[in-house]
Amino acid sequence: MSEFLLEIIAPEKHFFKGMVEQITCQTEEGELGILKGHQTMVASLEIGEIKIKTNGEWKSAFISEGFMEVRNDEVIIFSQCCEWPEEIDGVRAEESRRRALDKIEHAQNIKEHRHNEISLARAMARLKIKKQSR
Amino acid sequence: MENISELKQHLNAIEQTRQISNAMYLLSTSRMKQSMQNIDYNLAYMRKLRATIKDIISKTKHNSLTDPFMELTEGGKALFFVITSDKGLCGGYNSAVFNLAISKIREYEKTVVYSYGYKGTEMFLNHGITPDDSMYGASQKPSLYSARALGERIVELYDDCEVSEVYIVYTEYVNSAVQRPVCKRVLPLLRRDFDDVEYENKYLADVLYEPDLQTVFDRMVPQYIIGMMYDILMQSAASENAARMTAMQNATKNADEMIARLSAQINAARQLIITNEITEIAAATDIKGAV
Repeated sequence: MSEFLLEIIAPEKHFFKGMVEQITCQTEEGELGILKGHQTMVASLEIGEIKIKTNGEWKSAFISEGFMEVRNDEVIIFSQCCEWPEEIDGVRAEESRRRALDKIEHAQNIKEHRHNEISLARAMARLKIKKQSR
Repeated sequence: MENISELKQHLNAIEQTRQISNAMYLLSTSRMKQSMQNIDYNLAYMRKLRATIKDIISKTKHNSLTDPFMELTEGGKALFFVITSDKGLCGGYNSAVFNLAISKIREYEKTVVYSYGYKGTEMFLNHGITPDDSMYGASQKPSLYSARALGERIVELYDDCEVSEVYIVYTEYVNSAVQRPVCKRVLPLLRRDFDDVEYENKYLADVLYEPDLQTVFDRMVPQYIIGMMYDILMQSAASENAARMTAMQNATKNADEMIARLSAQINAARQLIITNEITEIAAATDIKGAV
């Protein structure tokens, strides 16, 4: 299978750079798989999971909101935050899930509600990926 | 003749101060290096992000992209975010930022001033300006978390039309010897802000936007602002530590000079006492011999 260059960059670190065979990520309209030679595209990504296939093996990682630039032989993903399953702090994610749930219940206004919903989505995605990797 | 015990006390005090200033020098050096590394990572991120944004706005005709972040409304309030340090002992770092902030604030009629850093708030109050909000703590350890909180706050204020322009006054890190206070416009984003971006992308046609151009752009702008805030906080932290490093280096050097001078004084005083004692003894034996 032909490979293409994938780069995942975040403000705090360069998360990933290397040749991959395929990636799958979450967009607003559902899961999106990318192979070499995909049409040039810019897509916004949802908080969730990104799967990367290298040497026939799938790896998954947590990805915070961001977007992706797809070119013929190169994909660049910009994200606020990216973590491998082993980097995810399960206890912290669980705590922030509870906190977000609690805050959503007691939210005073729409803004607060939306804000905590995003926190909740992040925590849930982290927990899910952590669980899968076990 | 100077009192030896007094001189010794003075010497002791200076030695202790020298230890502190030297420790602070070493500490700020390592902190500066840390922030510099983060600046590099973030710059790579920002460069690519800017290229993509430029790509989008250059493809769309003027105004076909409706984004409130890109419209300049006249006559609204201007928000000034002034970033200073929480702690002193960093030379002219705080006053340089503050002076620039004051001169910019005076250019506008209606302003909102947010002070980020304890020292800045203090200086504003001394000048009779009460900041509309003041926050502490981020300059010690700038993180993506605080950058995000700050970015979201700015976007929210702008969204609610509380302010029509947002400026940040901070210190740009040029190198370890030079730090420059700058005033940067964060919002609104203008097309000319992206003029200096080099073109990376040659494939102008046939780009697919998922789900569509407007959504992608709307998502990109907040991310861009958060990235910018992160850069600004990091640059400020690096500058603060660089300024402190220089100040503490000078303080240590001065302390060394004072220690050398005081030791010489103490030695001279001690020698004088010994000489006097010998003279007295010699005089006494002379008298005894004469008797």
